[in-house]
Amino acid sequence: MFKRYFSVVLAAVMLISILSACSGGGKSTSGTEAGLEKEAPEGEVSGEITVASWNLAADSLTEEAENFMKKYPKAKVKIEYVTSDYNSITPPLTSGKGAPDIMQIQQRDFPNFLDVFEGQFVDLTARLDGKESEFAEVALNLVKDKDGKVMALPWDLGPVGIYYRKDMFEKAGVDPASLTTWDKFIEEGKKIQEANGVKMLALGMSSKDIAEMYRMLMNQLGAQYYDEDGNIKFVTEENIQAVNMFKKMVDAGLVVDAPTWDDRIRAFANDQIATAVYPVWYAGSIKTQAEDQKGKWGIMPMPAFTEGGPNQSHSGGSVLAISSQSENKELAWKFIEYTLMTNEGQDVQMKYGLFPSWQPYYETEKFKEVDDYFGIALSEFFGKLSTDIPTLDYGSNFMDVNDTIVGALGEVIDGKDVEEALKAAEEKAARETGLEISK
Amino acid sequence: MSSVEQEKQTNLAYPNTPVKGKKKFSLLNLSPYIFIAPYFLLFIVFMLYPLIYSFVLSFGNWRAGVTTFVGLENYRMLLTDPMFWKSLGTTGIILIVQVPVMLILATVIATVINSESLKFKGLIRLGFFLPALIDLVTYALVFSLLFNETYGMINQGLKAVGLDGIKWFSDGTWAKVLIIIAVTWRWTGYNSIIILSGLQSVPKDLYESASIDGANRITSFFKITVPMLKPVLLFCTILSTIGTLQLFAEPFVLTGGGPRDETMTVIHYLYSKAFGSFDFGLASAGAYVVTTIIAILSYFQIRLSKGGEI
Amino acid sequence: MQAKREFNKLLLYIIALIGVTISVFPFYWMFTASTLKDSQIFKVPPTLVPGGNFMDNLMNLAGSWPLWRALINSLAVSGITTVTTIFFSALAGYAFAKYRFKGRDSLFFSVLLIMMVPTQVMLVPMFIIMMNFNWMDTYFALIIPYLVTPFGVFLMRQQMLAFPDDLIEAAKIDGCRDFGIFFRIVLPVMKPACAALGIVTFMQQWGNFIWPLVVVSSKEMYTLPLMLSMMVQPGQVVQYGQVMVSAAIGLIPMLILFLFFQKHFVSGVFGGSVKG
Repeated sequence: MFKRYFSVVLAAVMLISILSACSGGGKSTSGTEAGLEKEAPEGEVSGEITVASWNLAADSLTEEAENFMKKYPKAKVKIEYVTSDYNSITPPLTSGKGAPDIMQIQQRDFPNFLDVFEGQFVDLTARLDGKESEFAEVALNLVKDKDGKVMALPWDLGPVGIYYRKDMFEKAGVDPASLTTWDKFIEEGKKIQEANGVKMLALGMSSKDIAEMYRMLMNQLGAQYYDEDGNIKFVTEENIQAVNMFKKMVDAGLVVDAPTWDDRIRAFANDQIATAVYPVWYAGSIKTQAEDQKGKWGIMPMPAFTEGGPNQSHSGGSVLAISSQSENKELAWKFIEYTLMTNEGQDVQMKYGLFPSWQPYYETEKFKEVDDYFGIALSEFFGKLSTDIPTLDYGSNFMDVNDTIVGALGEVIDGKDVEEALKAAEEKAARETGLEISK
Repeated sequence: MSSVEQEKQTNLAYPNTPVKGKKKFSLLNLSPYIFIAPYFLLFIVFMLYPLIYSFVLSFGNWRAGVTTFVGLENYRMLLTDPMFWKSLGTTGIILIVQVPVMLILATVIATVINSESLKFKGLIRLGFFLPALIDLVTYALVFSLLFNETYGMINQGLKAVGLDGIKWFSDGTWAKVLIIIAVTWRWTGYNSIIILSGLQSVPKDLYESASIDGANRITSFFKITVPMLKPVLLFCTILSTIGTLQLFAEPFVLTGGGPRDETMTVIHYLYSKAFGSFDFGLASAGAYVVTTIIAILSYFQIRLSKGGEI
Repeated sequence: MQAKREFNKLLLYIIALIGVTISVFPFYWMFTASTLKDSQIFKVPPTLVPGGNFMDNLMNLAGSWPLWRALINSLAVSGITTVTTIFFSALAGYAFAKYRFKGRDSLFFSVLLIMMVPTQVMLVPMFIIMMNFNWMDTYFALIIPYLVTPFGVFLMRQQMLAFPDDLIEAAKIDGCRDFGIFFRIVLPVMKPACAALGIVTFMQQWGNFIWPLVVVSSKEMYTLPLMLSMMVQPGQVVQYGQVMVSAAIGLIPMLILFLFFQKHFVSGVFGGSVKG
């Protein structure tokens, strides 16, 4: 019975492989790789496009689309809600057909998309022509392919700050302005913990999120995962410094384990932590899930490693890319240009708490508005923290690289030597990605 | 009566005799083929075709609609990846502990519900069945509420009575225990309802004659109930084995595979290869390895239980 | 003796009570959370007394998500696939259990085998099929692949094994033909088994969200679990109160169905006649 069944299957497999071999090659849409021309064609945009995005970001685009369609009545823009783990956009990109015209992709994943789905995105370099510099460099860097061509527009940016509980700092007699270095943060942190019976930080120590804090620290120092030639290189002075500082915080007892997103929300909602090191977009979560703590939260810049050292870092953020499968690339361009490169479009983004990568907007009045919950001009504050963020190359295998770093961090916390752990991680990453280790 | 009709009668007289050798049968009787046609039509289009497609994929490197044939490279990469073996080992440990624990618990619960002196049976059945209906969001929220190491209700309770909290998330072994608890919570009731239906078909006179022979409840449970339940338990065992080997939701929403990949199951691993690294070739290769393992295990389960005809 | 029996009875109730409490707690919490504000949901110790925010959460939910449409879609998709799964599974199961025909065992083996393949890897090829059929974002894509499932065929075949052959033969003597026997004799007797398969199928369909995620793109086509997964994308603000309301609403049809059909569900089911 087994034998008979398998022989049938085998015959079918052969048949199908022949069929797919015949039709497979030509079907790809990589023929449309050519980018947009420098000048948009004359005449009003028309036609219909779909945009795939998720959650709040998709909400903001829905409003943008309404305004856009009022302005360009011949155009129709439809927003599709998808999930952030790309379950719904990877099948069309893999098979080469059926993709939405515009896709939201997380910044750190975009280099990976460019590599795996080569030829699936429209080159925007010529159309942007000189306007690239209007975007924050740290974000722009991640939408460029290996040849430096711009393959998407940077959407939001995630400059990092420290959300802190004013009341808890006061109770311990600690002035937030005095926390200029991480060492001071740790020392004073102990006092704050003692005075309030809380922990300084809730971090995902036992889940993959363990790398979150480390990544913000290493980015602050301008550390990288690769050398200039694109070879894997974890053992660098900056990386070692960042891992050591992370370990120091944990060893000082500053951290409570909160493995999931929900756990971390529960931590601040229950007055169990005094600070949260997070990007600008975390403000929304605090406002919603800790409504009753209004007025108790302040925000300050990250401390530096050494007095006066760099203190800017970046985490999160997405891009908007145009699919080369799109039949209406001009309209797609017009829509992302309107959304991300006009004050009108960015006004809507502001409303949804999406911090722009497009810097000309930083000069507008709306950007300087005072936030009711935090009592400061939130965006303006983070704008100042996004001037010198070091660029970070995630590479086309970020997922695999991050997994090995996660492993190494766990080992270091358990007592393994930092350099040894990073070295072992390099080897593992080289194996997973097929890249060389830097000499 | 036509010969066709006669042929059918012989069929019906020996419904379970497998076709052996070149025994006579009539191709003219199309009824059974028509009966299974709707299923097989769907099967071919929506199951067999994708199955073969991904099988072909497992020998290729697939990018943006262009497939490059790479031979056994995906299988080689998979089988030399320590993470694959680790995840397979984790899945195996969970399987070995979880399935027996769950089935024993389910049998006990089924016996309790089956007891004649119990009232409110409908509600109690519903109560036990409910966990199978939970949505993943509530699942994740409630389990982090209960098991969080610092402020979870269970560790708070342990501390209140002077014990140390359990490292549910940061210790590899305990994290596996957590996954086992969660899976058991979710599926025990479902299985006990299946077993309950098996219990109800055990003839009552068997128990009566046993009690006349002086057997007490516990002996008659092992002497009568368990043997009579064997087919049902086999059904549950096979389905639970398939379910556990394909375990994904719990590690995905509860532990994220952590700590240090200690709760990463094999399907979770394949999922992250497919939708994290976009390596569909490798993921497909893995899926075929897993399917083979499941098939072999199921085959032995059927053989060992001498269930034969399942 | 009397005292011992009373004690045994008490023990039974205690076991049942503990078991049910453990099973039901998360659902109680879910219903409570749906009546709270977002800032109350995460409080420790948890608020276990319902609050007064249910209507607010419901209104906000219905205002920003296609709640009712998703509910109707879910009911339609689950309802249709449940009915067809029962019917086609019973047909195929009957053929597998009561006929001898060429290729029967191989074909039945393929039914078992297909259940063992992890569904995650079939997503891409399935997507391509849907594209070629031009079924993306339609009810066809949600319903047709699930018109009948291998699980259903397996289950029904096990059930049919126990169906008394005498009944079939008697019908034959009365001059019934194959289809007549199936419709007039087999199907009515198998009602409990059908009810059981119905509940399980409905439950599986009701909770299915990975497939809708791949084929559905417009909000009008959302199913309830798909909507739920869209509401909790990480990295942004999640409105937990609203999420709990939709989770609670999603549970209600299942509860009704279970209570309504549970008598059949228990007496006729699965195992009852799984043959060894």
